[in-house]
Amino acid sequence: MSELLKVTDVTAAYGGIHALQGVSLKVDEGEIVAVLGANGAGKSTLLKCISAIMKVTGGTIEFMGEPISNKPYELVEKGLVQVPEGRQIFAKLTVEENLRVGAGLRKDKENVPKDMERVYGIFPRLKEREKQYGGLLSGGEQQMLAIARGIMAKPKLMMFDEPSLGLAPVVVSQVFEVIKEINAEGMAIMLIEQNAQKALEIAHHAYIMQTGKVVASGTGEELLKDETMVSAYLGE
Amino acid sequence: MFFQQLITGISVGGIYALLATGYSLIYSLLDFSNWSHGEFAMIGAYTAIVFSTVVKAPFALAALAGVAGGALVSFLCERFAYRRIRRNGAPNMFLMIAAMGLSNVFQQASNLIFTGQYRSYPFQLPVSTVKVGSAYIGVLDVVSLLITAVVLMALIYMINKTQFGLNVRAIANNAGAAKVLGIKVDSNIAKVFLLAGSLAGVAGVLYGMKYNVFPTMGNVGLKAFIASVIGGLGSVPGAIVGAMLLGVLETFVSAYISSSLRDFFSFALLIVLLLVKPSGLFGVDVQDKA
Ligand SMILES: Nc1ncnc2c1ncn2[C@@H]1O[C@H](COP(=O)(O)OP(=O)(O)O)[C@@H](O)[C@H]1O
Ligand SMILES: [Mg+2]
Repeated sequence: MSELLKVTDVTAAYGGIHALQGVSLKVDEGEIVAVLGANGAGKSTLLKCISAIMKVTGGTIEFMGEPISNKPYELVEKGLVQVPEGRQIFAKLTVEENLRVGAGLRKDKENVPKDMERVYGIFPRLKEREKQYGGLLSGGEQQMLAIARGIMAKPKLMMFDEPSLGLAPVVVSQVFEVIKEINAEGMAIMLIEQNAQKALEIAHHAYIMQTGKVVASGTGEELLKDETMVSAYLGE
Repeated sequence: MFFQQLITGISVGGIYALLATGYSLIYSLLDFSNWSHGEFAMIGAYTAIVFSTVVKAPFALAALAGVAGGALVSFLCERFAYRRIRRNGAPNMFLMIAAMGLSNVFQQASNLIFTGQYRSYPFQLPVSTVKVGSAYIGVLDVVSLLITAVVLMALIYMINKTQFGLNVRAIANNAGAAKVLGIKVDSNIAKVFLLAGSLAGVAGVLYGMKYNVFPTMGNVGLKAFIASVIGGLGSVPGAIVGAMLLGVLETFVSAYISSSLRDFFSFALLIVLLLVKPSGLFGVDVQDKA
């Protein structure tokens, strides 16, 4: 399968704090790739670099064989979309409007209504609450909305930053089900998580990060079996 | 008499609304009150004066030039002052101070260029009145009101029904998320300054038709600012309602009490409202649960 995202030796810093110290990883088409690591490992920083919110100080990031642009909207246009940490839905826009913002950059406007229906098919709760403000949804529903909004952008690669954070276990399972489902439809996924067990269960590939470095990688299955490794780095 | 005053009040309120919506739009995006905003009305009014007297353009064209003038200067303020301050990561207070400075510069500059003399457009403006029931209503008021209504309806449509409006509301709500989702934040902010500036231009030309054109006429912006606070800072419909309330109140106070007490009542309304409902009439608060 062909390579979608390729991160090579990326370094990044906040002032004097070296948050990324030479990170390399890749995501192939159709894959779910998990990036695991304890709090502060540098996972979100990596995501910020990939989505051009933050400048790298070294290394390269390529998407579909080309170096990424430094403009976030060009990345979204190309199909690199994220579901940000803490969901970040638009609280003062209705559910429907949130979805329309997601679809804002698409050239194929004629397909937007159809995709809207598709998304409502996946998330019937959102359809019921179509005209309500995003801020009035429950935490789980807001996470669903953030995912749905991402889908509306028609991404080739969707990147999730800790989608299970702060959600009840039942809802977490639902979120992972949905991620599997949209992956089955052909979308590649990069899944940043602290919930290693769950993430490894659905991941084709996984990387474990610690203090700004990738310290282990393998298939989801391999890492699931290797309990010592997972507990050593993730402290579970 | 009552009906007559009401129409006048709404027409004055309309001029306030054209400016108040600009305050609200910019506040909603950048969290600061653009104190130079009233000057864009003044600049629009003078642009129309220049086009009609020096260039000798027909009035419709001069008026359009006035609108464009307001839009252009508003855009330039954002592009060359506010944007740089934002890039430096300075606190919003700096934006407000810069805006006050710009306001001063514009007033002084127009004083230098045009002198303090009151000017009016070299056209026979309709001074006639139409009789509605027992009331006589100024044709100019009606024309001004119609233009304002059309412009404000177009604005509301734009904000609520177009992708541009949606993007602007998304940025206002959560600029970080908007950027991550691919909304061009800076370019939308620039467009909003163009839009707000052109609304101010319309206000300036209408104000100039009703009264006169003079260097400090931009102070009407203060009234519009009060209106936008009454309506709930950052809310466009709030700004319109606040402006209408203020316009009608002022007109009635001038007509039935005393025109020297007009501003006293405006500020009193503001203070009472802030005591009763600090977020303004339309200041809705939908908080993130997450
Ligand atoms: N805005 C910031 N300013 C300064 N340091 C930061 C900032 N964000 C993250 N860091 C630091 O960078 C490191 C990596 O953080 P982050 O990428 O958020 O980790 P993770 O997402 O894996 O929990 C941590 O040491 C964190 O304290
Ligand atoms: Mg993180």
